[in-house]
Amino acid sequence: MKREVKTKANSPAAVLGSQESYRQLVDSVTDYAIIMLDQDGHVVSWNPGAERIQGYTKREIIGKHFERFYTTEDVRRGLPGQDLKNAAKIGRVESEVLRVRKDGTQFWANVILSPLRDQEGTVRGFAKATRDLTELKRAEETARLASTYNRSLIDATLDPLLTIGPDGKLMDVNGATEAVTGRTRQELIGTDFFDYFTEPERARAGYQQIFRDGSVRDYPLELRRSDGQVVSVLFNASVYRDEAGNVIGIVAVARDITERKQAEARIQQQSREIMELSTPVMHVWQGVVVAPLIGSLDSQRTQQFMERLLDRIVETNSPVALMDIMGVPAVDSQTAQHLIETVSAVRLLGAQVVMTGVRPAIAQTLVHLGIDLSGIITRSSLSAGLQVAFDILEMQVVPKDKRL
Amino acid sequence: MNDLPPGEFPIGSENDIVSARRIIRNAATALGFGLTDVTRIVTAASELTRNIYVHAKSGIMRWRSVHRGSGVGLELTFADNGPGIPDVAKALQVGYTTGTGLGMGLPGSKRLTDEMTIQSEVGRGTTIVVRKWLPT
Repeated sequence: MKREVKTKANSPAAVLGSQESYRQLVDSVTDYAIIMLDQDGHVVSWNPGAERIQGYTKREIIGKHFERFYTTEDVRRGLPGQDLKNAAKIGRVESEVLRVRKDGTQFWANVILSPLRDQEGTVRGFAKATRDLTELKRAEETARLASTYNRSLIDATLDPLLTIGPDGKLMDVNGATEAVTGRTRQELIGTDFFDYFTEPERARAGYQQIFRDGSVRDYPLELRRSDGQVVSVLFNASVYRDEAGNVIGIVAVARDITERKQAEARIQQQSREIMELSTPVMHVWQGVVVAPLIGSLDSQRTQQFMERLLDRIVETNSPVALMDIMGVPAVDSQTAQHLIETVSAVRLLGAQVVMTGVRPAIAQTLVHLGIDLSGIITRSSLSAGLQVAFDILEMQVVPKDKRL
Repeated sequence: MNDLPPGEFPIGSENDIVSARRIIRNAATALGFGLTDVTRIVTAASELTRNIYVHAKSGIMRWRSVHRGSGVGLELTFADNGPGIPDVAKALQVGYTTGTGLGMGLPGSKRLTDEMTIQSEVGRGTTIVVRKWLPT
């Protein structure tokens, strides 16, 4: 049903407003399918855009019902009729929906359906503008995939990764950050980065260093977990910029070195134990004990050594103790003091100490240090010391054939 | 040859004194010092790191090679933010001690090395620099 529009034939408004010029406008549009339907939904006009997007020629489609543009599922649900009813009632229905082309392929479309009324206001038909959203959807999907890719890279990073804004607030964190802090992403994002460390000022100093130098490497900090536990971490961080080169924020990767620290502590503990084990006191001869000292002598170890030496002297009733320092790499004034104290303690038990294994370099150092060992019998070798011990014990080692 | 990368090592425990000795032994050996001089340098380092640990609790030891004409030497710096030394001249006398030691650490270290400078401010800390030159 066509409606006659009365116009004055020669005025510009009449030319521009004429049905002919309107038809030309619609025909020149190829990005939109602009069509008209009668009040029941049959196609009454078709433009080149519609042909390009939906695939039907004008000849094929005129007079056909527009439900063929819907998916079978939508037709089954009665959507074509409902859309017409809604458009007539509301005045305009816009939707983003899946549509079907002539060849049966489906595409995402933006569809605007508006009623066309006569002068009395009765709905005589519908205008329908359809835009193919395939390209848009593809671009969106690409962007979504890129974002998913970035997100999964961030989350797949085994080390805690986080970004911090110029205001010092956390902008983003990954799963490893959630695990190491014991807090969720929601809890962390937007909060102050510095507050999670045992030394917030140190964290702030590192953060300022990143802005000053562009990056930091292996910056050590201690992170306080939500359960109160402290985790040792090393931070590698650098600024990141937008396309114009302005700093957007900081991206930081932390490495949990708690285990490494524990391993170091264990090694220290073990080496301490080995040092303690390596201060044996041996009963080498009736009346003679030998204590070979190896490694460095700190106060704790000296205490243990002294106790063991005194115990053995009493236990074996030995009047002579040989203290061999061949294995001590350096004798500083404190080590010397420990040795002197040990010698004094042994003397209180009525025994004598012979210090052996005094190397030339150690002897010179002791002289430079000004340490007076004149009260202690010293010998350069253990065998020379043993000879002294025999002298003290008034014993003599005689070759078999010289025996009387 | 006769050069070594500078470095530093924080002192905060008695174990660090042992580590410091090992580090300085390696550095002095690498620079070409003989056994006797290595022992002297290590002993001085031991005295001065122990001073840091005993008096200031923590501090830092730095090392680098230094040059004087064709001569090469090892320079060690021991810095802390501890209580400082009220009377440096007195501290350099044998037998003067504020702790329980023999009072030989500072004067001993001075004799064990070729040069020693002490900068100290009460309440601010102490920096001691020692140098030992390779015999030419």
